[in-house]
This record gives sequence, structure tokens and C-alpha cells, in this order.
Amino acid sequence: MALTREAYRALEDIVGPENISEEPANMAGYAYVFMVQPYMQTPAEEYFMPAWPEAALLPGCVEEVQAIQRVCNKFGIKSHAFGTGWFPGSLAGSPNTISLDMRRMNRIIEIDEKNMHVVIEPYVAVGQLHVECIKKGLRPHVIGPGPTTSSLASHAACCGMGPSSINTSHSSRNILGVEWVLPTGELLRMGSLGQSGEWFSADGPGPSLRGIMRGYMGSFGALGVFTRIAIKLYPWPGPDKHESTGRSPCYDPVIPERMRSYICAWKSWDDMHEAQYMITEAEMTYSGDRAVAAWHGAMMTESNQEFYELWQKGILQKNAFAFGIVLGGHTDGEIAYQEKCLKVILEKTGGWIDEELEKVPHAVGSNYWWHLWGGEIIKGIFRGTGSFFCAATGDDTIDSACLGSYLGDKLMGPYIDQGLFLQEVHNVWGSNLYEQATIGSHHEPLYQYDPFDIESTKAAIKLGFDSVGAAITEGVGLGFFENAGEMAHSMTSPHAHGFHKYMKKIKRTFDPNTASDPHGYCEPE
Amino acid sequence: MALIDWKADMVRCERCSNCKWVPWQKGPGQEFAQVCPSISKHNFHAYSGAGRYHSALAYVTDKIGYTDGWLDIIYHCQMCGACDITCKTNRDMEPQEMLLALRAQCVEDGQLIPQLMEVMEGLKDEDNMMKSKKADRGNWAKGLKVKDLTKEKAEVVYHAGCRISFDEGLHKVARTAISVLQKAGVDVGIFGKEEACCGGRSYEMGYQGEIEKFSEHNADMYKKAGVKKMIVSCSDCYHCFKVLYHKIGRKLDIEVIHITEYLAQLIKEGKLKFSKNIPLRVTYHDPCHLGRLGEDWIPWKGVEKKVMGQLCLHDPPKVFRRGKYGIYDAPREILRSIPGVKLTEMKRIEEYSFCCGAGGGCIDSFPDYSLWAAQERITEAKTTGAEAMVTACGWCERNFSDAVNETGDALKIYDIIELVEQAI
Ligand code: SF4
Ligand code: SF4
Repeated sequence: MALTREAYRALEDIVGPENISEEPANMAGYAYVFMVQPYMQTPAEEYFMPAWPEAALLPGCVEEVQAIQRVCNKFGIKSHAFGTGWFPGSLAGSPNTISLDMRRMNRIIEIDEKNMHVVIEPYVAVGQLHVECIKKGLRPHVIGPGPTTSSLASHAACCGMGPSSINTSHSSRNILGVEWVLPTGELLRMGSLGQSGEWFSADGPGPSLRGIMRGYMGSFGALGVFTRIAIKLYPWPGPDKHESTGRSPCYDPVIPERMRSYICAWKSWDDMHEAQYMITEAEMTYSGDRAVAAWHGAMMTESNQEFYELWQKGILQKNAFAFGIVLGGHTDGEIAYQEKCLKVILEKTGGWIDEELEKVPHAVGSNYWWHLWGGEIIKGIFRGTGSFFCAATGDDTIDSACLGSYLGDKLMGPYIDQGLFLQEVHNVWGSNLYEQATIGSHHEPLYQYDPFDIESTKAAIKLGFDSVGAAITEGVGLGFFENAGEMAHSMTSPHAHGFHKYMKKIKRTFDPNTASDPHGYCEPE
Repeated sequence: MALIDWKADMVRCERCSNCKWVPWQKGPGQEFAQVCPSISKHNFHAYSGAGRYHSALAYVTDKIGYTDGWLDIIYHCQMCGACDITCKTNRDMEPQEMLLALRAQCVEDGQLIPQLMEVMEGLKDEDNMMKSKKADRGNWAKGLKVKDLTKEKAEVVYHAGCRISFDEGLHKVARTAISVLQKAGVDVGIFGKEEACCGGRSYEMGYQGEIEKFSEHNADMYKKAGVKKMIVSCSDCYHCFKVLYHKIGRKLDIEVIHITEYLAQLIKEGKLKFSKNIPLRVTYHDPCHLGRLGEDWIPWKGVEKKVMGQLCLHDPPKVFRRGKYGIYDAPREILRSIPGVKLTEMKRIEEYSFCCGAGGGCIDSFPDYSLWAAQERITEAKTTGAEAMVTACGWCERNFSDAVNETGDALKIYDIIELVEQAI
């Protein structure tokens, strides 16, 4: 259903004619993203989102966003805002929805060195933010999707785990003051921002709204639009500028004097998990996470062909139970201590750093980029087949990640045996540890399928669905990819205190006219 | 390959948006972090490399048809290759090839834009992209003592190209090139008014048939004249002769050299020496067609194959052109060897350089947009503290000069050959 001319004109008056479009070719760009079929459970041959936006708008300021929401309420339209749009949950998913592409709101407003936080708009990419923060000796929490993605979107409205989570936790734990345009168009300044105009806290006075705003998983644009937020910053142990050498496609970092990059490995899951406990207890890494050796192999090579040739040599398989680490010391003594700790932990757990693997060009550098800001993720996860999805993702303890890893192997095994996904050893690609694992761990048993291959995609869709049930039955925690959106929530909610009922109430209360697209979150009560 | 043949790439583009940004490893911060002029100006995703994949996918799966709006998106693109290279820092995909196929499909389907039709009429009637008379093509060489290859033999042909030949403001580039080459003892000649277009720009506009005719004609001329080498000042021509002719199966059997490569070699061999000091702070703009698009064509014919279940490989293995081997060092070596010249780099350089704005026909079809891109680049150049921006392509120089004239900017624009001549 196209927008009425009256509604279109009202929106056009707000953003100007150059910042609104109904052009179908333009809408195609707002209806496409990887993993649509398994996420939406749509047919394998259907590459696009089932509902295309009626129009796309490029708001330039908070007042425009408020005005847009008022028009949505008046004309019975829904909006769906996104930062960089790299996830099906960020795109319009319901009929009669307009997409709000936040690209024009792209400023880093302020880096507060003293209070160690930064205030950002929606289209500030993680990589940009990192570059600007290290100029002040600070670094932000970074997320696994990598440097092109929106830092605000992750902190305010989406998941938020990443390689540095071991120190910098999860996005939900990093958000401070928030400027939030509610679905109704009202402006809510959350936490200290609402009281004193300062950005230092997301909570209080009185009960915090942080849980309502984003909970653990985020509302994916279904509860209005976040126009500015502050996030915490952490000390950065390197110089004020990233340096690299080489030309496309592999750039080697100049690793700062007091930083180190290692790919460690063990002979079994159990040994690796034992080492993870010790690493987190020692609180000695800048960053560290589990990524399967094939991921490292893809990140360090220039092409699929080169990756395949490396694979044939068997070096990666020897390091199948890999855990990448970056150390960072602020003093010579600190980095020396970290190195010593790592050595002891490796000795005690039978781990190693494979010299042969380290000699592969770009091996050390690509691990560094990954830990720095999720860099090289595209080589690691998309170049091989074009897309991925996850089986039985979970967020719980390290032990639960271990269980999830076994479950992931079990679920994916039959498909891998049939050649429907990328094969490699121990297909549980990633796990992050939050705050030295004191608040848990995230694991992603990740499978790479080819979205251009119908059978491979069908398998991805089926496993995506089956995984939700399997994660519940096996008790490995409520996942991320499989659990966002109405369908997944309604499956998992009865097993987790009926959380879905409360989400529905929140949606109804904050969005009485459903002026924010519920897709990726839940329908109102 | 036809548009439909790129469907796998369209489907496998995951919307990561790396095609919008300077490679992250180069540490782009808040400023000058974007590489695509088109989305930088228009902001809607459809104007990016990825957005073009998605609209093309919608077209080949019958979700959309041609509209004025889509043509506007398709042609607001400099075909500058920035999305191609930045995508290929990570992926085994070919965005530039898909963009070329998309434009060719438009032309095949009669979905044309009037501004480019006019240029193409000129090409068909007068063998040039400048809507000018063929008879005036050799005017740039008036009064020069240089061999006429229609009558004499020489080892090297200097090809001026359409832009430099017909743009009076740029005649100095070709004249200086001849004079410098002659001073260095090079046996050089020209075809004057008999020179013809290379066919490269029309190819990038989607009119892929024209290049066949010009490549055949040009190859014949060079053979008859017995030349062994070609030197060009224009980066578009360089790319066409060296890369596109090879791509379409008409590789020239003479060596194609950009003047910067030749001069750098002469300097290295001690055959070109500078005696004058030029106290000037400069920055260098890498032309797209000399830099990232200027590396050799690598022929490949084969099929995709899967190993390890779903890992996409090619049989025989395909080597991707990722911008690594473009001409980046030669112009910088020249500038560094000129006494007094101080080179400071911009943020977007080499394979992730920002286009001057003139490419893909945009200088003719959307001059305001073309100038906007040039002004973006000038703003970046000025942040280096440079007094002048040096480039190595007539199209870049024209567009930058026009942009500077429009804004009244004090930044000077030079072709590299002009500084070389001043320093000799
Ligand atoms: S074109 Fe390449 S870089 Fe751009 S979104 Fe697609 S895969 Fe990513
Ligand atoms: S070729 Fe250049 S202008 Fe065109 S989409 Fe790619 S980066 Fe943008």
C-alpha cells in the first residue's frame, strides 16, 4: 500500500524533497541484506525482505525524527530506523512501513576524556569511533560485526558482543545517557541526561529504563529512534594513530610497542575452556575470543583460493581449538606480566602458539585487526560462501558455551556431511567472554551457507528453525539470531518466565498506535 | 558477461558497506572516510556499490523495471572503481564488472539518458567524446616540430586523447609532454587530426560496441606506422589501451605506457635531470584509471566450483584485480625528485583515492554532481596545506580546474608534466 499523497507531502515537508524517496530501485536497497531467508523463514528463492518499505527518508536532526514520528501516528504509518542496516532486524519488516536511514546523522558530538565517554549519532561507524577515540588515549567497546557498523545501533537497540567483550563487556553495559525519540514523537532523555543534561549515566534517578529500552537483545528499531547516546570508553594502550603497511587486499598493522597478537590453540574443547577460565581470572588480556581456526585462516588469506591452499597444508586443522588473544600493556612491566601470565596458562593447560601458523603472511596482523574492531570479519565469514546463520546461539556461562559448541556440532553435522555448508573442523565459530566471564559468555555455532545455492539455503532455513527448539531442549540459553522477532520469542518465551508478555506490554505502552515497525521485536499486546 | 551472469555476486553481496568506506586498516576517522562519490552526495543506499547490486538483483528477478529514478541512480556513478577495490579487500567479487554490465544492459534495452546520447552521436560522427570536429583534433600540436606518423616513422606514438586534444586549456599538457620527451631524446610522433578516440569512455557509459571499432582502427594505424610503444598523458586512454583492449581480446602488440611511468624511468636512468628549484607544497591526486583501475587485465575463462562443501572457488583459479598493482609510485617518485617540491599526502590515496568526479560520463551527464565531487576532493587537498594539487589525467585536471574557478579557490591545479617542464 503506497503512502497517501497527503502523508508523503507531510513527510517531504519535514526532510525536504532530496531526502525522501519512493523509487522502487531505491527501496530494493532497503529490502536486501544477508541471512534474510533463515532469519525471516522465507523461501530460499526469495532474496528480499517480504515487505519492502513504502518510502525511505534521511532525517538530519532530532527535530525531524520527532516530526516524522508524529506524521506516522497521524497517518497510521510505521517507521523503522537503522544505523548501517547490516542485519535483517534493522530493515522494514511489516507492510506500510517507511525506512529511516540515519546516515545524515553521523557526528561524534563530544569525547569527554575526563569522564571517559563519547557522545555519538547513529551513523558513526565503529571503526571511525575507534580512530577518533585513540587520539585521546581511549577506546570504545567494539562489536563483532566490525568497523562498518553503527556503534549507536548496537548500544541502544541491538545485541552487542565482540572480541573485546572480555574487557569491555556487552553493548547493554556500555550505554550511558540516551536521547530517545519515542514512537509517539515525544523526546525522552534518559538517565543523567534527563536530569542534569549530562551524559554520564543511563540509570536513575529512580527506576532505570535501560531494561525497557533495550533489555539484553535490543528492540531493533521497534521502540522509536535513538538519536544520540553516550557510551563508556576504556584506556587504550597504543599510540594515537593506527598505522599499517601494504596494499589491497591485506594490510598489515604496525602492532604497537606494548601490544601483542597471538593465536593460541589447545588439543581439545576442555583444555581450551580450562584456559579460558584461567585467562579471565588473570584479567590479563586487551582482547580475547574463541574463533575457529578456519576463520583465522580466511582472515589471513587474500582469496578463497589462497585459503583453500592453506587449508590443504593442514596447519589450520592442527590449531582447530583456537583462541585469539591481543595483549596490551600501559607500561613495560604490564605487558611483560601479561606475556608471562599467558606463558604459564599455556603451560598449565597444554596450549601452544604455533610458530608455523604465525609464519603464514598476515596471520598475526589479521588477528590483531579482528581484536581491534572486528576487522577482517568479512574475509573470515562472508568471502567463503556469501552468508552465514547460527545454530543454537546462546549467552550464558563458559560451560554453557561449551555445551552449545557440542550442540552446534551435532546440529550442523548432517548438513555438513551432505556438503550443504562450508566444511571445516569444529564448526563452532565464535565465543566471546563478557567482563572476564564474570557475567557470562556468548557462543555462536555458526554455519556458512551459499545464498545463491538453493539447497544450501534451504538447509540454512531448516536448521535455523530447528535450532531454536534444540537450544531450548538442551538448555544452552536463549540465542540471538534465532531468537529475535515475534516467532522466535513466542517459541522461547514459555521456557523463560514468559518474557514475551512483558515485551508486548512495553510495546503497547510506548507505542499506542504502532508507529514503530514491530519487526525484529514483537507485536503489541 | 551479461548482467544476469553476475547474479551470484548480487545475491552474495551481504550489505557489509565496505564499498562505502576507505579500508579500515588505513584508519579513516570522521573526515574523508568515504570513497564513493555517488552515495557521499546522494546518501540513499541505492547510490552505493552495494545498492547497485541490490537494485540490479531486483531487476533480474523481476521485482522492478526501468524507471527514470533508477536510470538517475545508474548514471550518477563515475565508474571510478572505488567500490570495486574496497569490496575486494575482503571479497572475491567483481562490482565494477557488474556496473559495466548494468550500463550495457540499459543501452541494449534503449534505456538511455539524453546527455550521453549527444556525446555518443559526436563519437559516431567525429570520432571523439568532446562533441567537436574531427578536423580540429590536431590543433593542439600547431607549431610543434614533431613527427607526423601518417607520413613518417617513429618508435613511440604519443596519444593525446579526446579531452586534451579538444580542450584548449589542456593543450599545454600534450605540448609539454612532446617537448619533454624530445628533450630526453625519445623518437616520438603523433597522428594529429588522424588520431581517434580510444573508445574507453563510451565503453564505461554502456556503449560497449564502439570500442571494437576503435580498437581495430587504432591497432591498424599503429601497425602501419611501425611504432613500438605508446605514451599517453590521459589516464582514461591509458586504462583503455592497456586494460580494456586486452579485456575485449584485442590486446595491442605495442607497449602502452603512461607518461609518469616513462618519466620516472628516465629519471632513474639519469636521462632526465632537474636543474631548477620549484618551491611548492603539493599533494597528489591518483586518477582512478591510472591507479586502482590501471593494473593489467588478467584474462580468465572458466567456471565456479565448490570445494569443502560450499567454499566458492574458480576452475581454473581466478586471480582478482584488487588495485594492488596500479600506477602509484611513479608519479610520486617524479614529484619527490623535483627540487623544492614538497609532497604531502591526502587521506584518500592510491587504491582508495576519491574520484575527481569526471568519470563514467558524469562530466557530461551531471556536471553539477561532477563538480561537487571535485570540490570534495579540493577540500581534502587543502587540509594537507598544499598550494597545488597535481594529477596525471586531463579529465581530472579539467574538472578540478573548473571547480577551483567556480569557488575562487587559491589552490593551483597542475598536470605533473607541467612541474617537470618547469624544473628542467
Ligand atoms: S558490494 Fe561488496 S563491500 Fe559492498 S556491501 Fe556488497 S559485499 Fe560488501
Ligand atoms: S564506481 Fe565509484 S561512483 Fe560508482 S558506485 Fe562505485 S564507488 Fe560509487
